[in-house]
Amino acid sequence: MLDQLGNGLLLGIIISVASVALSLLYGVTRIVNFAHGEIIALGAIATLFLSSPIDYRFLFLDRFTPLGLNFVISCLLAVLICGLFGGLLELLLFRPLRKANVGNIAVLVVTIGLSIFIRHLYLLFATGRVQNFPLELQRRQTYLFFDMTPRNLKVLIIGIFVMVLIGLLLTYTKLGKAMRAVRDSEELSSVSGINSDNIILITWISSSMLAGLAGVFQAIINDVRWNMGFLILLLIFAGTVLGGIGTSFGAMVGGFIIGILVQVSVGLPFMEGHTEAKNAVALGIMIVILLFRPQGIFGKKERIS
Amino acid sequence: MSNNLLEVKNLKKSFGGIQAVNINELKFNKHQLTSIIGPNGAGKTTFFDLISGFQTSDSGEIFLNDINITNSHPYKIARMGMIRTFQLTKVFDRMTVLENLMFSGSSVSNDSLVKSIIKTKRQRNYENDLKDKSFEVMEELNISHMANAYARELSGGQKKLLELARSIINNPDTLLLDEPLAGVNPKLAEDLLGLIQKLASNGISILMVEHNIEAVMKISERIVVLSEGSLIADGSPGEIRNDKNVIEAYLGKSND
Repeated sequence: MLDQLGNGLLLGIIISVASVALSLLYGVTRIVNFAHGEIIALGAIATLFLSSPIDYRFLFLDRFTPLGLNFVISCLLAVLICGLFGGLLELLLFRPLRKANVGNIAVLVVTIGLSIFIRHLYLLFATGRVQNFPLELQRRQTYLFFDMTPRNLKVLIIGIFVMVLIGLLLTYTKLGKAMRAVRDSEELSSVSGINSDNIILITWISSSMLAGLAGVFQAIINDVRWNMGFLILLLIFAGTVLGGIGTSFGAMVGGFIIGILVQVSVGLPFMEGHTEAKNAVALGIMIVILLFRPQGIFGKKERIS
Repeated sequence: MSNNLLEVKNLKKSFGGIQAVNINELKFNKHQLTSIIGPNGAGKTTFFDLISGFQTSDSGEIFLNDINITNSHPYKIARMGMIRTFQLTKVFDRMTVLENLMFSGSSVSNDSLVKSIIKTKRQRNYENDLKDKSFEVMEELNISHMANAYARELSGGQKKLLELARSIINNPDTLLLDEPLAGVNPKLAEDLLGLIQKLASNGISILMVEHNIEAVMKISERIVVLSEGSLIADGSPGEIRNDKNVIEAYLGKSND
């Protein structure tokens, strides 16, 4: 079982970063974003497009030539592209919906439609086949009590660093406080002189950048697929709910727990030969935890009145 | 400087077929405690929503201190020094009482991202001053013992006090109070009335929507009466008490 711990940590960091992003957006806007997975995939696909060698022929239906940029720069640019994309989604779609007082359920259905639409655009114009980043193969090494490649260890460390940074920003800066304020009441924030539209726009941009980063991580650790975000979307929801929906710290921990549970359960005796069922154990445990702690591990009970 | 605080001209707002607000001309003076009364559905809250930017008018103009604020964003109007409260009390549930006050009290210029990370001495002084001031306001409203309680844990009456504290922390020129006495016990209602009067005597201009007529008669300097969106009476409490239109609007036309 323990030999899966390294893989668990890696899946954990992907889900954790993506869960923080999802939770941030939900926390401020109350939008359950099913298109979150597509923003994750955008991070990976954009990186692939920016960084693949120019003579790489199988990409993008032979229509577009990859740019062959430096890999790290490509990752950073891809994250920025995701932020831009998220900002445009807010400005062109979700802000008008909000101003028209469209209900939460309707908005949720919009995000499902958006998810299917964007995902199939990827299939059409980007990549229908499984692709890999132009990185050389590395050998796994043992660190403490888990093993992974040096590159993946870097991913893990960067991921944790980014999440701690986000946590500090949300807790201590006026922007973070303003986000919490808008979450509690958009109207009251306005009365306190906060431009809530701007706060929501910034939330969309930062959530999408984080999602893009999760996509880059996922592609480095695994590979690039048109439906890669959709494949882990349910695990991301699980991580968010498990930690306590709307709390960033909860989403971080919840994401890690889900990731580790999924991978470690592969080592269970009865799972031998059935690894494709690995999500079942993790999600089963999630349901049991929620039975005893309905508000999630870090969620707070609310006074109902 | 003119004595005009707020002026509305030809203000109209309708929902479906219902004319919620239809006011030709109405002026409010500075440093006065004015109450807006009227039967349910008279358009009082809609009027508040229009002048505080929470709803856009169908037509007409609104001036605050002679500046046109028609259809401005609520946050811009708040930054101009006109702060409102809500019929259903709103507080920042997930912040403590102290955080509620410090958040609403902090000025925009002192809260840039950089300043909140790298705390200069000036920034620390600013935050300490803000904290002192928050405690001052809490003392005044008798809620300082709850400074570190989360706002969601407060009772309805305590939330009313917090809401009032939050509204005055920034030294507003004008307060719009939407039913400040609704749903509070008689003792607290009396305390709140005293506070409102004190704020008014400190020079804050106050517009208040309130259903408690007795209280309104007691503390208002001027009363404006709306019915079905229109202005039907305007005057001192004594004048309003005997106004035929007002009595009709509240009690219906007599049949004799």
